[in-house]
Order: sequence, then C-alpha cells, then structure tokens
Amino acid sequence: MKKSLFSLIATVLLLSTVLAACSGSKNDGGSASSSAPSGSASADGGLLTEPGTYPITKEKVTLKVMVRGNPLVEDFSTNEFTKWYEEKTNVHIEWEVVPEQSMQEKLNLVLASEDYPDVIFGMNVSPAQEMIYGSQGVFLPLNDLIESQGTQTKKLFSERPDIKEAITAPGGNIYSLPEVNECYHCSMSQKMWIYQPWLDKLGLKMPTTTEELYNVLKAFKTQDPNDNGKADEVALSISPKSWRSSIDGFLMNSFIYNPIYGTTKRLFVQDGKLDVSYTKPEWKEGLKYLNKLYSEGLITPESFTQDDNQLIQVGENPDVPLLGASTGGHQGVFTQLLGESGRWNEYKTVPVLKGPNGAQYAPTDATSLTTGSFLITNKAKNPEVALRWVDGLYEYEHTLRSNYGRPDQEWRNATEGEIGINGQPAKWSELKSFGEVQNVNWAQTGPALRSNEFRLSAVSKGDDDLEVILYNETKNNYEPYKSGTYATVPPLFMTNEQATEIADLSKTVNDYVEEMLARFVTGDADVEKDWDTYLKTLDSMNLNRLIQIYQEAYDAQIKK
Amino acid sequence: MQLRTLTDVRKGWQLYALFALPLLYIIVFKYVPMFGNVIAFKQFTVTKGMFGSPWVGFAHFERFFNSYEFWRLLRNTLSISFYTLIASLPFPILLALGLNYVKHERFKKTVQMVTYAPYFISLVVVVGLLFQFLDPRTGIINSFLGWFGVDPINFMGQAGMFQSIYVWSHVWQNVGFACIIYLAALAGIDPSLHEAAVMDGASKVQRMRHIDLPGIMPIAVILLILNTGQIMETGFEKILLMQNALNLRASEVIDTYVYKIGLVSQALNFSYATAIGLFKAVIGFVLLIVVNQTAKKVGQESLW
Amino acid sequence: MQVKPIRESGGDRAFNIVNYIMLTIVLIVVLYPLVYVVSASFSSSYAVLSGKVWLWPVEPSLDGYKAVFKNKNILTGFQNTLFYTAAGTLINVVLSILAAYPLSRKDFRGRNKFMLLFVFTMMFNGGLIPTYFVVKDLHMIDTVWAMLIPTALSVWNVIIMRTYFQTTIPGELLEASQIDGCNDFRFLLKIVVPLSGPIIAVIALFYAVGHWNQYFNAMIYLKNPQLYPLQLILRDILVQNEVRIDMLGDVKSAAARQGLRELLKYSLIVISSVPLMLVYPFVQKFFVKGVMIGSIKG
Repeated sequence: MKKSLFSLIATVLLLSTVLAACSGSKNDGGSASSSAPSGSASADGGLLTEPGTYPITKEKVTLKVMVRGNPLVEDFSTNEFTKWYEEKTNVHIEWEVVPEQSMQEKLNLVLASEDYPDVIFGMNVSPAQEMIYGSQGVFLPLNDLIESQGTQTKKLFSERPDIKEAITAPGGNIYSLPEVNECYHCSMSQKMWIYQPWLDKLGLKMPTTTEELYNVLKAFKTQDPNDNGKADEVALSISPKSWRSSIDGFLMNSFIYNPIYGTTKRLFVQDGKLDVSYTKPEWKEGLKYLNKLYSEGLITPESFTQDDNQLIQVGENPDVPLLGASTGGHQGVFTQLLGESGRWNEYKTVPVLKGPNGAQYAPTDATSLTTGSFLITNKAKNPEVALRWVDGLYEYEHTLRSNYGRPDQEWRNATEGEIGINGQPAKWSELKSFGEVQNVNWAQTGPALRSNEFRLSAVSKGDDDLEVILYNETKNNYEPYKSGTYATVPPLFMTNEQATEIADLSKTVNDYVEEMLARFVTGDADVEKDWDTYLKTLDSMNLNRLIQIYQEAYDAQIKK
Repeated sequence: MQLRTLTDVRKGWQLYALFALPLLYIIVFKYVPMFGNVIAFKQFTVTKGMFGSPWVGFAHFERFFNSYEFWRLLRNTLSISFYTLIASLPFPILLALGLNYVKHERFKKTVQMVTYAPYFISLVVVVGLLFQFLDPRTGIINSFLGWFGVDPINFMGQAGMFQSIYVWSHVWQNVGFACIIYLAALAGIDPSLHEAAVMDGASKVQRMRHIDLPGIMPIAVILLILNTGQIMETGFEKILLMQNALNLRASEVIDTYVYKIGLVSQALNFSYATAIGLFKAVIGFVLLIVVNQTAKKVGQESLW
Repeated sequence: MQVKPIRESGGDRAFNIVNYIMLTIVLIVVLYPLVYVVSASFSSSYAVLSGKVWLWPVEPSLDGYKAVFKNKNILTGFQNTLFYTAAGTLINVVLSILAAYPLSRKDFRGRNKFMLLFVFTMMFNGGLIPTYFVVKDLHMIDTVWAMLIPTALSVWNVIIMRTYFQTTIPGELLEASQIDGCNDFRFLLKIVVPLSGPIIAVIALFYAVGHWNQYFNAMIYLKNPQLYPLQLILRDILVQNEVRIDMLGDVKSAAARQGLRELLKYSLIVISSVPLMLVYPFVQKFFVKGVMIGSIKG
C-alpha cells in the first residue's frame, strides 16, 4: 500500500545501517591486540638521552595527552608549570581537556571511537578498566619501560614496595602509574568531636570509655551547659551525608573493627581471612549501646536524615551553642571553619573509646593512592618518552612545582629552625594558599609524589593551621589505637565477572545493613527479636558469596 | 489500490515535502542510533564495538529480574510515577482555568510569573529547602504542628511519607510551567463561543464546564497519554538527594539502583544499563498503547 | 473582544471571590521559597550557614555574585548560550511546524504510521555511544552544530503542537481556502501560522528553556572552551568551591570556599534564571484570547 514511501524509508535505513556497520567494523580491527611497541627494544636509540637526565629527548617530541579538566586550572596549555616543564624536558604537550563531570563517559567514548591520544592523564581509570583494556592491548604494560627508563619510579618502588604491589595487576603487569597523596589525618578519619567548653563548664573529663561517653552526653542533655534555662541542648547529632560521619563510623569501633572507607566498607582482614563486621555478636552489642543512647534522647532522630547544611546550622546556632558532639573527619562537617563564632576551634576529638569488652580500634584507610593516574595507549609513537616524562613528575622539586607553583613565589624551601606540621624540622613552605583558580600549577592533577613525609614537612602556620590541628588530633587520639590484628581491605583488582557480581551484591547488602542499622538504633526494629531475621535476610542476599569473591580477589593480589 | 495511493501522494505532495526534513532528523538522530540497543543482548566492551562484542542473549535481563531488589524497585518506580501522574493532573488545569477569568491584568501576570519561577530552581536547592521546611527542630511545618501540641515529626525518616513529599514538592515546582500549555489552549478557544454563552446568561462556572473544559480536553488527554508512556522514568536526581537509610525501602527506584550499581562496579556496564532501559521502554510503550486505545474508545483525542 | 456583561450574577461574583482567594494562596505558597532563594543569594555565607536567613537578606553581601563574575569565561559562556538559544529555538520551531502541520491533517496518508514512528522514539533510544557516533560521522563534534542539530526536534512538543492545530484550525477554513485555490504551502504560511500565536510562543519557550539549561551535550560534544555554554561554566564555578578534605591545607581558603559554596548555589540560580524570567512577559502577550481567530474570521 504505502510501499513507495516505505521503500524510500527502508532504503535510507538500510544505508544508515551500512554506515554504522562500516564504523563498527573499524572497531573490530581495534580489538586485535595490535603489535604495540613495548619499549624493551630501544627502537629510537638516538632520540633519548640517558635515563634520569634532562632534557629527555634530543629533538622536540610532541605527546598528545588527555587530561581531566581541573576547575582550579585556567588553561593547561598556557600554564606556567607546563611551559617550565616543556623547556626542561624538551617534550611538547598537546592537551585535550575533558570536563570532570563527563570524565567516565568521555573516556568510554574515545575508546569506542578509537579516537584516543597517546597518554591518559589524571582521569582516575579504575583497576577493572585497566585490566579489561590492558588485556586488549589498548593500554600498554609499563613494566619494561619502568625498568629501562623510570629512575624515579624505580626509586619509589624500592622505598615503597606497598605502592608497587597496589598498582600491579594479577598476572604481573603494571598498566598505570599513581598519584601519591598521603593525607595522614585522612588515613584515620573516623573521628568524634566534642564541645570542650561544655566539658569544662560541667567539670567533666574527656571520656575514654563508652560508659563515660554515655554519662557525658547525659550530662550535656540534662545539666544545661549553655546556661540559658532551656533544655535545648543536642547531645549527639550527625549528618549521614557528610564525610566519615555515619553513626557506626566512630562508636562501633569500641566493639569491633569497623572501617567505613570506600567500597569495601565494614570488611576487614584478619590473618589473611576476610570477614564483615555487621554479622558479629560484637556488632549486636554495639547496636544495643547505640539504641540505649537513642532512646534516652542522646542521639537526635535527624542523625539519619539530615543533610550537611542542617547539621551545620545546629553547630553554628547563633548566640547559644547547641551541639554537644558529632562525628566526622573534620570540624567543617558540623561547623563553619574559621566562622565568626569561632566554634570550629572549640571542638576537640574524642580518643577512640574502650568498649565494654575492651575493643578499641582506629581503623586505617589504605587508599593513599589515586590509581590510574597515568596510562600510555597503543597509539603512542614514543612510549619511552612518555614514561620518562611522567617519571620526572615524581621528583621532589617537580612535585612542588606541579602542585604549588614557582619557587619563592608560591612555595619556598624552609629556613633553619622552621618547624613542620609534625613538629619535626620543616623542609618547605607553602606561600600561596591552595584553592584559587590559577595558572601556575596543575592543582594536583596527575602523578606526583606527596608522601606523608613530604606533606608533614611543610612549615606549620601556627596553632590555627588546620593541618596541624588535624595532625595532632590524629596522632594523639587515634594513632595509638591502630590495630595489629585487624586490617582494612586494600583496593583490589578484579576481573570483569567478579566486578559485575560484586556490584549487585554489595549494593544490596550495604544498603540493607545501613537501613537495619538505622532501624535498630532508632528502635524501629528490635535488636533481640529481629536479629535472626536480619542475619537470615543477609544470607538470602548471598552475603557469603560476596565475601568469597572479595577473598578470591584478595588472595590473587597477595600472591603476586 | 496502489494507483490510488500514488495519486494521493502526488496530490498531497506538498504535505510530504513539508514533512521530509523532520522525518530525516528522526531517522538520522533517533532511528540510526537505536541500533545501539542491540548491546542489551551482548557483552559490550567499548573497544570491541557494537558488532564485535559477543552475544549473551537475555543474560542481562535475567540478571536484573533475578536481582534481590527487582520487585521492590518495580513497585516503587510504578507507584511514585502513578502518584505523580495523578497528582500533577488537575492543578495546572485548575490554575489555568482560574487565571483565565481574572480580569485584573497585573494580578494575573504576577501570579503567572511567580508560579513559573520555581521550575528554574535547581534540584539541589529545592531539596535543601525541603529539608529546611521539614526539619524537626526548626522547620515551619513542625513549628506549626507544635502550636497544636503535636511532637516534632522527622518527616524525612518516615518511609511511608517519602512518596508524598516527593510528589507534592514536584507539583509545587512544576504547576506554573505546566499550566502554560493550558493557557495557550484556552487562548485558542473561539471567543464567540463565550460571547454567545454570556448572552444566554451563562455563569462563569457554566462557561468553564461547557466551553473551557471541552476546549482543553484534547490537550489534557494527549498529555495524559504521553505521561503514561513516561511512567518508568522518575526524577532520579531528586530521589537520590532525598534518599536516606530510613526511607530507602520506599525510595529506591530503578534509575537510582542502576546508578548505584554503576558507581560500585569499577567499569561502566553499558549492556546492563541498556537492557534495563529497554525493559523500561517496553513497559512504558505498552502502557501508552493501552491508554491511547482507551482514549479512542471513549471518544477522546488520541495519538493515532 | 469580550463583551462586558451588564451586571454579574451572584454566582459569578462568588466565583470571582473564591478565584482570587485561591490564586492569592497559590501566590504566597510559591512565592516564599523564591524570596528565600533571592535573599540568601544576597546574604553573607555565615548568615546562610547558621540559618539566620529567614525572609530578607542577612548581612547583605555580593560575595556570591562576585565569585561568579570573577570567572573569565562567564562572558563567552553567556554569549554562546544566547546564540545557541536563539538559533536553536528558531530551528526547533520551524522543524516542529513542518512536522506538526502535516500530522494534523486527516488527509495526510500514512499519518498514523508516522505518529507511531515518532512516538516510538520517545521511549526507545540508542543511548550515548551510538548517538555520539552519528554526531561524529556527521563531523559535528566540537562545532556549534553539535549544540543545535542533535536536539533539533522534540517529539513531545510536536505532538502538543499537532493537537493545537487539530483543535483550533477549523476544517471549514481549509476547505474555503482550497476552493479559493490556495495550496498547502500558502495555507500553512498565511493562515495556520498567524492563527497559532499561542502555541508557537509556548513551544518556543519550552525549547528556549531547554537550550538555556543545556550542559550535558556540551560536556560530551565540545572540546574547545570558547564554545562552552553558560551552564557548563556555572557548574565549573560550583565545583571550584568544593571543599576537598585531602587538599585542605590552609584553613582560611577552606573556610572561604565552604561558605561560598552555599552562597553560590543561590546566586547561580538567580543569575541563570533572570534572563528566562525577563523573557516570559513577551510570551505572555500571546496568551490574549482569540485575538487571532477573531480578526481572521472577520
């Protein structure tokens, strides 16, 4: 009937299919592992200079680099550090900047359209992606390149074998180099903060056990420490949406080792065996304690629902302080840093409390690395040059320049007698504060080497220096309680199949655990009566399989 | 038969000429990419491309249907959407009808402008305002309840209230923008109808019932059909902002589930997301057809 | 023109009163949060964070706005978005009329099949990667066309327009014009379009708002920052002020950013929606009842 018109449409559709098929078959070609130069044969013996020397190449070489857009960097192409480094290395960079929010999509699109550059830089490629595309030859293994050209990298590996291990995929290949950014206080960031003036006012000592905390909170609630005749004090209030602030982040560690970092939260390793914290009788005890606090009005109901703004409003209540205690990684979670009220500085950390059974743990965060920060693709014509180029970024001076800027303008070397954040003699000093839009540094994009040692040797800016405050609080109240028996699960490499299974299981299980945590604490579910149902439900969600997969991945990682 | 078609086509060739450009657009930008849906039946890797990735049949669909949360997701998605659909139906119409009879021009324009504005407030701010509004300690609602001696309620912690909070805040934000269509429709009604009615002594209410409502009924029905087709789409960003551990069992919908799975897994699984998208599309399309045929049967305007 | 009745019946008067009351309630309910947003944007960050802002600006400051206009790319972003919105909406409206009119004609053979074809695309789409390939194969990546063509038509809007045509353009008009020897092109141009002021205005508004708020396509298809639209730049500004704990360093800057982030959320809304608010009164002009029909009929 309408054949004429329809055959017209059909032809167009057919044509388009052919078009699509043509572009599709281009991809088929790409999947065959192309003979990518692995760099072991020094193909261009004449181009490169001696490893560890500058410039890197005798003639100017151009590298095409795709980089995550950093809103604090005005323009990578005209950036001061870019220019300085180009002069030193004799390597010119053609930048392709990808807005941060579309990073993942863009990465997938360029891989799909075979439109990718020589180097992928600062784009946080995940271990699973590395394994998938590495095995297909899109990302080059870097092992040999490092061996022959990577002086700084080799030095890093020998000083920090844990870093080398963390970035080596099962099978032994290293596909990417990391950005090392160790934040000491972040590594033990499940903290609780308490309003010191109220302790002083009521003549109370800083609590050291869960029982003592209970008494302190009770005193806050009933003895009117803000002195206004109203029982408006809020003993403990948290926001579940803030950093390291969930209700079990601090308090549960007085019952059982309970890390809440990353995707392996509430998982721990003991003698090489992985397990979860939330099925144990100790967890049950902890729930009872939390429920007791809640039912006596010491934990506010909003602690499960409010957002960070609402919590800050409580902490910053004008005129009269209202907030007794809160949990989180730093004071900015519940007050305004450097706010007019000055409240932020009046909150001090509570040391890890000892629970009724003697448990007292400060869980450590094992992720000081941003992996997948530098990768070489099979389109790079000079992979050795690329590796030498990134290798240089790990040098002390280069790290300072790429993260902060120019010597004596944005940073300088420390002078005799200057003290660092950790109380030891300082090595360098920050002159201009981080956080403004600028064009003299790369604002922490891409590989650099800022170990704990490096960061803590920055000159301390006095008692108000947040870094100093956080360092001291961490050192005094949390470091002593690091566990020898338990460890947090490190980031693991996983195959695509493992990652897929884990994704489904862990999302469902974690959501359920958090839901039940809230319900047990608020009394919506009864700890005694509903505990068995809770365990049974976790079982039916295949919790055992979840632990099993993680165990397999962990074993594979350790074995290498 | 064919002859008649050709003559018709030739006679109406101008209409086809007008239609050609939009049709081309639809084909190139909608139908050609649609082939991409084939990856729902494959194990897609970006580097192998659509044609190089291996087939896995219905594996992705099975994975979704067998997942622990599937029924809950389906239930929440459908109930939030139906609730939104029904709640959003009358208010833009009522607003448009009411505005239509306001003689005071400035009042009318002001109300229009003000109700149109919330549409432009970003979701993050809307949800933030919502939280403030419902705060047990300082929120207006709880202060209001306090006058009647009612204890503060933590609204966001009540799973049973989640959908209502979501839907009514959605209505608030969208009623002004949605009513614009109806205003346009009312403006297109032949004024001589109103003149005649007034001559006959009809009251405003009667005019609303017999002239305005029938006048906007076609567009209202069409919008209803279209919105039904979108039943599997929920305001994913907004729900994500409003979710917490206590209301999760009422607030987890298909879109938020897919998003969270994507976050936890380290490599984006396009196949899985596409398969779920296809599933949603099929359900939406079936429902759309049902409502469309029903509208036709009861003599109302329909899509085809 | 509407004929004014000599006197209003009691029923009508009651109706009027109720109407005005209801609309006033609606006005207040909707207005309050808007006032809050504007007030917050003009307050200090401390006032906003501590919850002091209730109705009017507290500790008035322009910090939120200064942070936005400090950005060098704001002007280009603004210009780009103006261009994309104007050009894009023009394309949208023309294409929509070209699609909606034939579909509204009962004698358009294949009309139902075409409707099905169009509606189908509202639910089924191929996703990011295939669409990206199409745009790429047409060499539109990193050009202004990527912002104008992939979104050239919205089936939703086409259907709304079609419905309007069907209900407002009387069949007799078409017959009369055909007798007069008017062909389809002329009928569309000289009669349908002038009669469709309201719906064209509405559709144009919808499309314009869509373009104005557009950022995702820009993120995916554009590489050259000179082409970035306003929303992308505004989002960048918001992200610039995120407090990343592992990069804290200096308390002062961390504190400043923490407060600024809150303020920015509000000032960004004001900045990006003011132009759209200003446009609306022009659209409202088209909602004058039946001006078009009456004059044509005469």
